[in-house]
Amino acid sequence: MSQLLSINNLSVQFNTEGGLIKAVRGVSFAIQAGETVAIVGESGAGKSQVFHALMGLLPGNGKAQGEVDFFGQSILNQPARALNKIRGKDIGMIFQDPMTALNPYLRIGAQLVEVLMVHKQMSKREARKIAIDMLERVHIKQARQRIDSYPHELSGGMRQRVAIAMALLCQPRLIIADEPTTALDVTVQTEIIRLLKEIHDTLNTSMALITHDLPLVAGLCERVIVMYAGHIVETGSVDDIFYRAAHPYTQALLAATPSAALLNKARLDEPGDDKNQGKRRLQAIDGQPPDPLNLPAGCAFHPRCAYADKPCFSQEPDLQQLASGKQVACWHSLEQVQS
Amino acid sequence: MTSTDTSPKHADTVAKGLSPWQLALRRLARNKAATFSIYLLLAIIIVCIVGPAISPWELDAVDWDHIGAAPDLVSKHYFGTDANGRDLFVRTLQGGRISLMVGLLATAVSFIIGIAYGAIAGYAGGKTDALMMRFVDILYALPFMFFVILLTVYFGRSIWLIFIAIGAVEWLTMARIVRGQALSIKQRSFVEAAKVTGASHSAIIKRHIIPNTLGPVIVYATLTVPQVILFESFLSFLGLGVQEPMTSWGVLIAEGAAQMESAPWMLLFPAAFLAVTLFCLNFIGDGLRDALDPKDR
Ligand SMILES: Nc1ncnc2c1ncn2[C@@H]1O[C@H](COP(=O)(O)OP(=O)(O)O)[C@@H](O)[C@H]1O
Ligand SMILES: [Mg+2]
Repeated sequence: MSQLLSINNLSVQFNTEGGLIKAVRGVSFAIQAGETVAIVGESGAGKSQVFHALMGLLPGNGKAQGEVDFFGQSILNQPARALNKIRGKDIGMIFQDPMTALNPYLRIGAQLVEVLMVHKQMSKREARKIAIDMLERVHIKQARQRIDSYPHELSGGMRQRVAIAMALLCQPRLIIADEPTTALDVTVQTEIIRLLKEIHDTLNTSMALITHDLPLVAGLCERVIVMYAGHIVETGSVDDIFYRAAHPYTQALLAATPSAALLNKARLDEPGDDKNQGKRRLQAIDGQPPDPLNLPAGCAFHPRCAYADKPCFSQEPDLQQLASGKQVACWHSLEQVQS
Repeated sequence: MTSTDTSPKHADTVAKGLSPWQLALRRLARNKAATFSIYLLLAIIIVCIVGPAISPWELDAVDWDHIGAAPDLVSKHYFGTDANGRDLFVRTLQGGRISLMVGLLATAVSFIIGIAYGAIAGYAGGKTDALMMRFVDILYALPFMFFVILLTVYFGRSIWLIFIAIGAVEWLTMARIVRGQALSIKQRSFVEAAKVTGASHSAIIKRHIIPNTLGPVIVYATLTVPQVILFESFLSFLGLGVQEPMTSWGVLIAEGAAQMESAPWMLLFPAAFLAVTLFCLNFIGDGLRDALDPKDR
């Protein structure tokens, strides 16, 4: 596999009236060509900002530092003019709220055709044909007529399909989906995930899937990155995270996930040693997410952690290799390994 | 379109899409007060345009036999005459042309400038926005009456001066409204979606920001027209408006008010035209506000 995206020591900060918010604090990971990665964590963990930074979407008060290479090209903090050669063409992005993801005043066809005309030197006619093909590909019925609809005439699920079609138009190497199902009904959620999986299987597009509902995407992703307070606290294969979660936060997160009950359904194909199943009933993670303006000293999770003791209070643990492909940032998991 | 689709059997075809604008127009059409106002306003505009041609009298022709005369069909002074014996029917309609033209044109000009300026400021944000809006604040703070008086003293009274003076004030508020809208619209994910598909800044402003700010601005513009008409009337009242023998509703009302007791028709007719026009515009503005209400989208 060749490396498609590599993020090195990325930090994102926001200047606010209350002070400096460190939304992302030294995050490093890579995505290989054809790989699907889930990025999970509570709301406010900094998941979105990682990708907003590399897509040049940070607001005026936000600043990104570090290195981001996409296909051998440094893309962090590049001017819009340079990014526009990549955005939409090599990287597609899907957002959370399909209700506002499309311009209400433009027919969806116009919004799709525009993307193709920007990136490919294509006539309107050709672009329209490809747009219809793409709508069919995301299973929009009667695409030939639907292309002339306005967004308000489509359901939330259909709008998200259109948004996915828009991201796919130029056959990007990477798709970033930022909570693509959070705003949708449960039944529609699984349909959209199935669609993404189908796209990945047929086009071999790499995907970064931001979510706080890990079981929902478990069947789609190969690797999971768990973020807490702007840090990666654990990363590993889906099985590593599900059945052998090493970080107390990951364990708590899994226990608190709404669709944990659906887990068995999602993973019917490979019944694992699901011994924690009983624990995985809805239970909120104890304590409050950290105040981004005032992060705790030491491990950011320690105030909510049942295992916290001496080293956790004063020193933030770094990501350490636990097993091949599995990393965790927790003093306790490290002790276990070393002893 | 290529027609590879060989299945004409689609019984449940997708209805042809109606744009949010068309939907808003339909809602507006259901609003009786607004629809009636639109027709009435159109009628007033048409009367103002063709009316003077029907009357045998000229705008500045003095009828020595009827000076300060009451309305009278025999002499064809339908609205009577003013203190100089000029026909008030013709003068009211001619004045209406000026008032309506000033109102519509100055509003249109400030609409275009305000939208462009506000959309750019709001979308750019940060320092550009701060700088652009500071400039608006400064213009706001200038004493415009003083400015207008200076200009008229310098260049003499002219209708164009009134356009410029009124347009210069009105676009400021438009720009503020549009800028506020743009600030919130650029947060919506379709703008981000446009960015991540590689759309240029100018394309985003033209295709995404401006159409989405238009609703509230159109409502404001409708309510600006009466404001402008009143502002012109006020300038005319002060003697800074249009130049004789041209006239406007404001001028006629000022003259009529002076003769209110001896010759009430001099005030009545222009005042009635102005009042009805202002009512119509307000009803239309209200109707548009309801029709364009974003919660229905
Ligand atoms: N425009 C902004 N100004 C200030 N802080 C922001 C802004 N956008 C995001 N943040 C902060 O960044 C942190 C991470 O946000 P985000 O990446 O959106 O979280 P999530 O993991 O839910 O996607 C949050 O604590 C939030 O307060
Ligand atoms: Mg987010």
